Amino acid sequence: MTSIYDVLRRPVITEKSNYQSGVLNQYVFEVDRRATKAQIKEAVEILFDVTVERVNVINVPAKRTRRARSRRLSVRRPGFKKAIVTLPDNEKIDIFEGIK
Amino acid sequence: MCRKGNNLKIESENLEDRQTQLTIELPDDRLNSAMRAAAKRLGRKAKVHGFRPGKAPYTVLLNQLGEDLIFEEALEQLGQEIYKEALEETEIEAFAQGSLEEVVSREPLVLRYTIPLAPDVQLGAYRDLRLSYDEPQVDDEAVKRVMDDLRERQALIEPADRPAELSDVVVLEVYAALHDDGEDSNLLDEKSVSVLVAEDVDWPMPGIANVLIGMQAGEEKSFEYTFADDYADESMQGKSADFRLKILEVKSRIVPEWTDDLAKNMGEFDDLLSLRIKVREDLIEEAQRQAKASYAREVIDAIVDESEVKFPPILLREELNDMLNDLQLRLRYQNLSLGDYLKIENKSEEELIEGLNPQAEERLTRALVLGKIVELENIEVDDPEVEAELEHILEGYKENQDDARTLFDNSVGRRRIRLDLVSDKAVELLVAIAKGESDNVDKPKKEPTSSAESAEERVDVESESPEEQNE
Repeated sequence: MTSIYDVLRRPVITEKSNYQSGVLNQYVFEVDRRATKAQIKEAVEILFDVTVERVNVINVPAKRTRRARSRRLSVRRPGFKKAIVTLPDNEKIDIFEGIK
Repeated sequence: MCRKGNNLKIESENLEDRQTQLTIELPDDRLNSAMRAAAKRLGRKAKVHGFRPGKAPYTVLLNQLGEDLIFEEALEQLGQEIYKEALEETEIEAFAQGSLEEVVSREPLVLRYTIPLAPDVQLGAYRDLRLSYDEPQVDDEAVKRVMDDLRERQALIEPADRPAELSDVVVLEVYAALHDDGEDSNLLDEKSVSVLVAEDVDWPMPGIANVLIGMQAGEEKSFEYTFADDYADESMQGKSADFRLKILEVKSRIVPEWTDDLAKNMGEFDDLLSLRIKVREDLIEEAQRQAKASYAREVIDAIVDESEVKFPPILLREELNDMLNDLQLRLRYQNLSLGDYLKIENKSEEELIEGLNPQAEERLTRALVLGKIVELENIEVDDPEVEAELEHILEGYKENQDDARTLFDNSVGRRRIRLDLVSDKAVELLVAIAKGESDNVDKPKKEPTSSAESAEERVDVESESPEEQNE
């Protein structure tokens, strides 16, 4: 993890994140495990050309699940670090259009 | 936002073959709302990761499913809506379901429709048509032939212990093989078959009588025979074959002379004369029926020739479909599928349809012309007439009248009977006109304007009208 371009992995697009971005102006990313709040803030501000008000970080634990076909085998799904970035009301990130 | 179609830009253009082409441009917001509705419909079924079914937002769906899919889905419904609105707006009377020809452009959305119009039938001066009708004649020769046939059927056949003579019946064992082919060319192999010894019998080959005369039971004969160059079966012409015959039995055949007694045996006849009269009457009746049928056909042909009929291609397609269904039905009675039939005929389905095309066109033209005449002449059939015809048909099914009743005695059956009767009446009228007997027929109540408007109320004579089939 040498540069800010390695910090953000991908946007998280789910029903919940959709609600957050639409109503709360919070944008959710999957980020590198080693990333800090400061690094995430820097990365988002530079890549999306916005000001970041606040960053919340959650370590999503790995989960056990069963394989779809052979239901006996359980599979470990990797965990990841999730960052919820809050922007001021007048700024927006168009996640679906990607990075400018 | 006005949702009704008054913001459509419509250009219409009349094509040949009674069709109209509409080019419709519609505003973006119509397309957008349709796309969103379509995405919502699709989203209910699609699995989108991170969302419960039906909860994914439009943009996510657009990414996930692709714009094309959503556009297609949207067009399916939007196309129908626009079609209806456009028809209302342009006040075009569509004769059958129109079709979306192509999407000319997407932004702005421009659609092109082809709409079939009612067929246009221009009748010639059918009321002035005169054709001569020849009363069919039955000559004595024909009567004699029938009488001879009847007499031969009464022949007494008895085993005879003597060589075969002319007009005997011989039971044969026949084996025949084409030679000089080298391969297995078995032509005939019959263990026991009866052959009449007569000059004009040509089975198993012409001139068999000369071979058989003089042979006795148990006798065998083998010979070579070359089929003449004018033999009926072309594939056999000029080929020679080895025949082997064995006579199993010789039977004498006595054809009785005509007597009053024999006539009585034939049924409810008092004497020979009444039988002969009956035969002649039957022959005349048959000849008249045939003459009438062919005369009616001639009359209709003449009228069709004089008329100008234009119809949209969709009608022809339906007629073809009808004919194909008919064919399939007939094949099913023989336990064949259409595929088998095609294999036997060695045709592809396209070739078959191609072959049926002229026939379908003719049938359709006739039906349209007759329908037009029915309409112009105000030919109607009332319920009692249908009822009577129904009873008449049912009489034909003596044993299983109940089955037949369920088959015919319903609205579809009645409709068909009615259509048949109407077209019969039309044909009768035309025949009367052509014979010059039309004075006792009502004059037409409408002038034969034969414009598209009056064709809308047309009565379809042979096929059911396409609107109903489309429902």
